Amino acid sequence: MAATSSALNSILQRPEVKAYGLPVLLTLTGLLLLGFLAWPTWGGIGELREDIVAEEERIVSLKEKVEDLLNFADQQTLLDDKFTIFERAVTLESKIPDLLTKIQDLSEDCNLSVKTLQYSGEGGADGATGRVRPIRVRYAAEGSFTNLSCLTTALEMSSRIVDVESFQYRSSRSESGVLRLSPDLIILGYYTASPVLNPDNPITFSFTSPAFLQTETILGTLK
Amino acid sequence: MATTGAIELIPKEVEAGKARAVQTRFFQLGAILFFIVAAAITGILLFYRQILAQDLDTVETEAARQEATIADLADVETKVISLQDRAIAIPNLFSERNYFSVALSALSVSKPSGVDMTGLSMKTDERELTVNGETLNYNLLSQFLDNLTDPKLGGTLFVEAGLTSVNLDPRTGIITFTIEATMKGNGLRKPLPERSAQ
Repeated sequence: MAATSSALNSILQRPEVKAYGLPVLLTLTGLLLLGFLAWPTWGGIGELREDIVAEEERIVSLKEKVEDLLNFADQQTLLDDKFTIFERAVTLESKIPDLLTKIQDLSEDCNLSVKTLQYSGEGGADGATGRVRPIRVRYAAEGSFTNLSCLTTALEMSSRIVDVESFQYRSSRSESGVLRLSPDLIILGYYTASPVLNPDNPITFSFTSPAFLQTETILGTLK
Repeated sequence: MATTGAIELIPKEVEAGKARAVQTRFFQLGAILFFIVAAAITGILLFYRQILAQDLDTVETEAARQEATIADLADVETKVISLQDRAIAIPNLFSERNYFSVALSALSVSKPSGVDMTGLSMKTDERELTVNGETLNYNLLSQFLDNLTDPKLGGTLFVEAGLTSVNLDPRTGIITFTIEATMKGNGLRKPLPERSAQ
């Protein structure tokens, strides 16, 4: 131990170590500072500036969205009214069972006797429009041609949007010779799943947008 | 021949030593200066990063505040998005809809009394339609076929109609038939209603 200390002491006492030791040490320390602290910090600063700019832009978008939502909140009554009408046309997933009730009601209004009314699965992806998805219902009944025409028109005019995908009927005669039709229809109803809210998604909807006005006009023609 | 030269009073070793001492001094000063500059740069960068980190924290806090406001308005947003989805989808649904009532109406006006349509089959986006029927009279069947392509009757929808089978039951005299009719392209579609004026 004493020998090591003595050797170190003799090295430190050398004139070249005295002259160059500290400067070399300072230079190395400076290089280490620049290489291992300043340079990474510079990189981090670049990232931080980008993050700040991105976040500031995001705040602008968020503020615009808040403003839009507040505007809609100010028109809450109008929003609720329109939502009720639109939601009746294309219902929420949770209200799919109402579709059967609606078809049954329309059928009874047209004096058709319902024989079968059952879900036959979701419509294909080609029938989907954005988040709106189709659901199939198989419908079978009994009635006259007039009853069937009535139902077809009623389905087309229904405020709950339903499309007929396939339409066919067979018939049989009663003992009195009256022709009784047995229609077999595949009906498509539509629903949407609850939207997944994302604060970063902007609001692009407005009550004056052409798409909304067009839809409002279409729904206005339905019963 | 004698030569004369300058007399050097200071030994060369001493001069070289002085020069080395000056170089050493410069090196020492340079090293100290380099260290100070490196330390200063590092310090400034660290300080600047600290300021930026605080700025980022501030904007993130502001963004979180805005997000919280949006979350408070979630009910409104849900309704707005629902309206938006439907406003996009509904015109598409209607522009692609097949109005089967149009076909039923065209068949109904074309069918003479004395002809019964006992079966019918049609599908979305298919132009062919099959009608099964019964009658007691070939003339009525012929008239039905003619009416289907008559522009004032079924011809508003059908461009072609032909018998694919005809059978006479000799016991009852009932003629059963099958007609295949071809509809106009997009014949079951209707234009979208005009938008209300603003």
